[in-house]
Amino acid sequence: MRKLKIFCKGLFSSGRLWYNPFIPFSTEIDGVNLTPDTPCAFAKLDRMQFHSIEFIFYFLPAFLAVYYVLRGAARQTVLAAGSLLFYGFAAGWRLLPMGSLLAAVSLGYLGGLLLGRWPKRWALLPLCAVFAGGLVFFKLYLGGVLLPVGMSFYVFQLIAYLADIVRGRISPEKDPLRFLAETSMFPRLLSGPIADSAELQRDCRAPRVGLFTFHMGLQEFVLGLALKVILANRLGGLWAQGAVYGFEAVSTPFMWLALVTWCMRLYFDFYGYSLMAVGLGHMLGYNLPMNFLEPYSAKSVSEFFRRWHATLGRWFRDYLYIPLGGSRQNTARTILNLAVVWAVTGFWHGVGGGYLLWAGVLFLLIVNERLWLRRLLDKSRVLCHVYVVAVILLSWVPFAAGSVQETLVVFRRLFGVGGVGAMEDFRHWIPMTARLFALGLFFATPVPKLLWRRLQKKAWADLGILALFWACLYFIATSAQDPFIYFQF
Amino acid sequence: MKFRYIGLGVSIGASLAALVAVGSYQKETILRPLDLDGGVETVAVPFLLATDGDLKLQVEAAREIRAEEARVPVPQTFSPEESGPAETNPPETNPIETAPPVTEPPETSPAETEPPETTPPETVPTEPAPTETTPPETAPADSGPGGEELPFTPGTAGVFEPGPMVDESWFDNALFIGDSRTDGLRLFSRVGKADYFCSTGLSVYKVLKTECSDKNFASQKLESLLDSRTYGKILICLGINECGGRLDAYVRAYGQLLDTVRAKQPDAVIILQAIMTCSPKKEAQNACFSPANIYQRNEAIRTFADGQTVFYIDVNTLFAGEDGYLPDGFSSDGCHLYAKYYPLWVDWMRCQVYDIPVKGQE
Repeated sequence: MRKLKIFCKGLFSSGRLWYNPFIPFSTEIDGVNLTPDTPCAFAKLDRMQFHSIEFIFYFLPAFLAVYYVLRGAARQTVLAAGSLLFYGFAAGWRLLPMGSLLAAVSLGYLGGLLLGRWPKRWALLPLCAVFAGGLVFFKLYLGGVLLPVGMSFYVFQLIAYLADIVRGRISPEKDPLRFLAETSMFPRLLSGPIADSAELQRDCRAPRVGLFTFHMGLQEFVLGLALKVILANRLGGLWAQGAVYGFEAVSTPFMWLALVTWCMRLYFDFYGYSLMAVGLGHMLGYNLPMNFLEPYSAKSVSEFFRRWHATLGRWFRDYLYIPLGGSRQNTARTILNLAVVWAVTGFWHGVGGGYLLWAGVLFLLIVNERLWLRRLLDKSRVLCHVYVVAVILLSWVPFAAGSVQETLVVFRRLFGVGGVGAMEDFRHWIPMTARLFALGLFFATPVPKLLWRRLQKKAWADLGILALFWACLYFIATSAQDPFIYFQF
Repeated sequence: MKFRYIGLGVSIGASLAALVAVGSYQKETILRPLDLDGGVETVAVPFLLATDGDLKLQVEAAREIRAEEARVPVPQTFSPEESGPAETNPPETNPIETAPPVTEPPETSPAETEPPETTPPETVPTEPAPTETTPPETAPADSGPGGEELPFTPGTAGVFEPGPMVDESWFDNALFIGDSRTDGLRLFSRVGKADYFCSTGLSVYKVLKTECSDKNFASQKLESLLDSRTYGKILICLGINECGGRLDAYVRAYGQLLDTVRAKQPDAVIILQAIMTCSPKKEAQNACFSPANIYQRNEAIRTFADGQTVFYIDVNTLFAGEDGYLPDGFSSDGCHLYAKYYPLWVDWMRCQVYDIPVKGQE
């Protein structure tokens, strides 16, 4: 009983130990009594996320067992309860995020019933204003620090739900539990994807649970996990190392290497996460949309953003750009609409000069493409790809650097202002990153997906997936000693 | 199709069973020494984690010491080992230094008599001051201003007045041994034709077991490198990775390293570099990065210096602030200097070694 208490305490305390799932309470070692909240140098663990040991070994198996045993409406209840539990872990059981989620969901529920009775545009506006206001309040007024986990995503999902009721695409959800399950299902609670509300509603009423979807979901989950843990997490270290060196003194080749690895990390991190979400959705019988459609093979910046975080782009198109008039009116109006969309996009990503700069530059590029550049780009495919990759890589700099001053420093180093530098750093890091780097380049092309489509059907594909899973676990477990990460000097 | 799913199920089940077996077998493999000098030396037992050699070695070293203490019934007034962080080193380092004399006699007779009666003041003549005055940095360290004992050396926070300094070619037959901080020196201010045997995470426990490579030599262990080349100067800077472990284990491993180096390179001058302190931010992450703890270790390192062939230089006199911490603006992670400061470190070093007598160079 005491052990159980310690164990539970450990589970709920934020700075807890990182334990062996099979030795959850290592009590006595060398005569020293250990509790799960004994401080530990490398115990700083992410709060529950898809790639954490807690999620993979405790939460997911337990949840799936219950979910599969039950049938019918009970499944939705379990999904709702499990999602709240998951959110509790993810948000560290703090009142503000939990309260915000529940308040937003209740408001969405009541608003849906209301709009079902009077499907009028004027009734929709105040509801959306409340949601958007909440987001603005947290991001602007509280500086984004207290922004509840996943709020940007569930708020957008709720707005889409309400707008679709007004448009008559869906009917309002009457069952509050089912509504809770639908809007806050844990696979897409923290970082999307923002699903199509009609499809979500259909799936929630009759989830297609079966061995086939489970198998597919499991494969996708492991592939996503591998992208996140084996590629993204390890590629991210080089940028951090550059920050430790101080960017003003690194050599130009090193700066490029760091920037490219940072962009890879961003891509595989989010791509891996989205793939895991889709996989989890399949395991639960839901069909969630893919967020990333090989963005780096796009031929223009506007196409890149239709493939990059596609569900967010679709949301902006359907619920902001088209209601504003889209591109059906004159050119000036179209540009204005684009400006609004990109301003909101910049704000959605974060508050600060860097984000606005990022959005502004992309807006200018996209307008430019629409008006003049497209004609030039249509002439050569190679030119398109070079242009997109170069522009996109550079456009991430304000994101990576974080502040405007740091952005300027990075740009100066990227273009060798004040000398290229002594390259020792580059020579030192290139052998260590070369393999990961090559792997990253390979996975940024559409080839792996095509390859996987062919191999997927083979019987031994599952063995590969299993091996990959163990490799992921190994990297999760040893990430504390990753030389990239600064636990060692 | 069904057959495939059965296969999947069986393989998942089998690997889970394997995990259970390995998990329960591995109960004690990985331990994290955290406490500085007290009895608590182990904390976490993460799973699947048999890779951290350094932790294992630290724990092994600590256990060896403990086992020896248990066997030998209190040698020479030595018992306060468990009495928490001791401010005075000599009694603590004595029992550890019983190991060095075994191998040390062959080379230098003055050094041979040194270990038993080590006294910190010995380093005073060895400290070549940048200007011709007596070393300003060692004086306040021994007895702080106003009688109150400062556990650290107050530095000048990067303000450096160059005195006479050696040419960069002085380092042509030098070998740097160190961790990631020396790695920074190598990457951002390489000097002369010096060799650098360093890697991220290197510690005194690992240094003899790790293979490193550099521009001028292929990947190999330290001993084989020392066998294959002759160095005039060997600069050692190790200690930040060991901060969380026990002091006595650290000093002992440090002594073993010195013995090895001395045996392989009898004519080389050995220069021991102090551990650079960290910023308050770093200390907030883990108390073992406090200047007090680091300086306690530096004192222990200093006792190895004899002023004849082994010297001690303290970089904290350059970078540390008045309070002994590494000031803000020198580092983003609180532990590693910004790349632009490594040349300053080298310039300072060139001043510090100016007075060190080197065989064949006078």
